[in-house]
Amino acid sequence: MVIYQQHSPEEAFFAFNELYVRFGHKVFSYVLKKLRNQSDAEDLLQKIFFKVHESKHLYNVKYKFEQWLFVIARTSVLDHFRSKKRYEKKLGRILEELNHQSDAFADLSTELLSPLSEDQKEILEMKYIDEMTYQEMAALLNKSETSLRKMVSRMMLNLKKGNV
Amino acid sequence: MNISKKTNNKILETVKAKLMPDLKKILAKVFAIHMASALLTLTICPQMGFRLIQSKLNLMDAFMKIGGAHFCNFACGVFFTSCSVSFIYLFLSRDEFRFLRYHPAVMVSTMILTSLGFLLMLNPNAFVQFTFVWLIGAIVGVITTMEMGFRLHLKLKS
Repeated sequence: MVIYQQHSPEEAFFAFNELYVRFGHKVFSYVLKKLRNQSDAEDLLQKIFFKVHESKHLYNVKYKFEQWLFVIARTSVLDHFRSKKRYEKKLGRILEELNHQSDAFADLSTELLSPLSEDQKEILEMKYIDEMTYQEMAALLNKSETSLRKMVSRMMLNLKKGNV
Repeated sequence: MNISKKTNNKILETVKAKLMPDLKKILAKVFAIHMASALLTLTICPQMGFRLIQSKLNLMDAFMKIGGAHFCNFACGVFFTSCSVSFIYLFLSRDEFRFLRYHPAVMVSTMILTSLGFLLMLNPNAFVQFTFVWLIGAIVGVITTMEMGFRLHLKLKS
């Protein structure tokens, strides 16, 4: 570890390599046992060894390297669970908000579109929900593209003014 | 279950890249920090005629009083480069600084060539006054400050 901390970059890399070969599998087994997911465990293993590298100057030779390494591993596992919990909580809140918003939007759109005839609603749905082109709509409804364009723009204008 | 080869490689490659960073990137950083530091240090020395801030501090006067022209040149070299190395120590990562410490030729040549170019650009006439003594001072400044920075870092750590 002293070589890894203080010697030339080449020697330090050699020392890190040696430490990784010696302890990489032990740490991985520990992380995998906790996370029970190969890909998550590999991601966390990377984070742990990058953390080891970033905090190598904090290591005190009085203690065993393995002990220090496992303190980092344990903290990282705890952080992982904490952030996962936070993420799930946040995701739940966002989904709830989205559901609420989409319900409100559905109510609003039903109310706004209610004065339109069924044909007009269908045209708007084709244009803005199904995202069809005027060409496709014209072929389907057997109408000219120009008249469809005019109808859509007129309906949109009226909807904006609120005098459908 | 075993660690995938991809993960093994990624860990080792990333750490290798951190321990042995791209020389071009480090040199660019050294250059930028050295230039900024040079502008600051020159504000307290009237020799180059470049004073960003008008201050009463006059480094040249002080050095001349202590030991004459040769001392002034030597001390100027030491001061100019050691200020830059101190800033470099502050702004570069530990691994980058270690890389430079183990490649002193890269650091010394970059800093001295940049300094000479910069000073020449500022005032070609004053540059003639610089001597071999200044160069020695600059080399001493770079190496001693770098070594002190590294040792200080090790001492603070333990």
